Amino acid sequence: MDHFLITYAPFIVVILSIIAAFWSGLKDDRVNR
Amino acid sequence: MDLAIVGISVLWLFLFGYIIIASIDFGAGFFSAYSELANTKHILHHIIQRYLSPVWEVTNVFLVFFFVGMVGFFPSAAFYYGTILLVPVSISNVLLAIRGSYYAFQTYGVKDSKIYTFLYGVAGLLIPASLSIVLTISEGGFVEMVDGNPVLLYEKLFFSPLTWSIVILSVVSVLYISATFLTAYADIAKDFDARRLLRKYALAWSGPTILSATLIIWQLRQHNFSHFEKIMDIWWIFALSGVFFVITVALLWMKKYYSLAFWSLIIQFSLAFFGYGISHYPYLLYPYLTIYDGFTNDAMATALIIAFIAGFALLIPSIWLLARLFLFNKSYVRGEKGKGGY
Repeated sequence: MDHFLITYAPFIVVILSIIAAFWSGLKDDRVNR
Repeated sequence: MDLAIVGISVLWLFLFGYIIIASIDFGAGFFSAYSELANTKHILHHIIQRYLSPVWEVTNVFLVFFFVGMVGFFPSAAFYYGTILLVPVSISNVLLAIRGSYYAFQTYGVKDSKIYTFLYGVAGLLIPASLSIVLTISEGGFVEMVDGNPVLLYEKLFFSPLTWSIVILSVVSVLYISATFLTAYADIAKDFDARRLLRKYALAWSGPTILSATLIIWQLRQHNFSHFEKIMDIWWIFALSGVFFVITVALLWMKKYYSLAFWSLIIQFSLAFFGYGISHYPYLLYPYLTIYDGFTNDAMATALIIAFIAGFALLIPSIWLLARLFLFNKSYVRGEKGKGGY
């Protein structure tokens, strides 16, 4: 369990940051329409 | 310093050149496709079309130089990598062909097709992802020797967290490098609407870039501890790279000195890239192949180094001229006809 967390938990942080990057771009683009 | 180190350093320099120039190109293609979907084409179209051109297929010269050099300097690398990369690099080649051809169709074709734009935009993100697999394989653990021949363990490679952390970095760093460059480019062109939007993209992708780079080092600790220890031995190179990352983001945030922000990004990536290369020394493929195994003879190595330096002396002025005549010719960038640049 610990090994699983150590390996995969950082992925969740990175994927969340990617979702945030896309979301901030899309939010701005909606304003531009 | 021996010839093997000179050889691998020259090749690493070519690979770095390819990574930066191709990233800008791939990212610009993606932003162009994305702007079609997000209805921001009226803002980005002008600046990206000024930048994107099939002329930039010249970047593939860097990649060809790297492959030819690898085979020339390290013939045994061709034996190991030639076999195991047959499928991964074939995928990259198909994607490069798709991107190159749709690039030309889009530029010279009669109709403005969204499908063409979408295909070369997405292919531009998948190419670095498929090429980055080579770096994952080089870390060892994915190749088995069967009857004296190297065999790639596809399932292990596909389900390895290290594979996906390197793939993520390759994609997000393409977007980050490209958005930062295009922000500086829009600033030179005085296209302030495009600059505002691209600056936002650059800042948005800076976070995922630094987080995924950290994730790779973390995954290396699990996958290849001896390489991780070597990275820790030269931690100051990566720390310095981090300082330049902060400088780039700060300049973008303050809306100042966009060109300087891009040069700071170049220094950031060069430090990280050469730090990675130094820590990888002497292995080309853990644990089977080092740069000293089957290095070519001295006469061939000397001839290759001279040929590469001569090639570099030809390629750099060519790219500089391309940049001066088109990219950074202010009247060309602003689309002013009849004032040079045409």
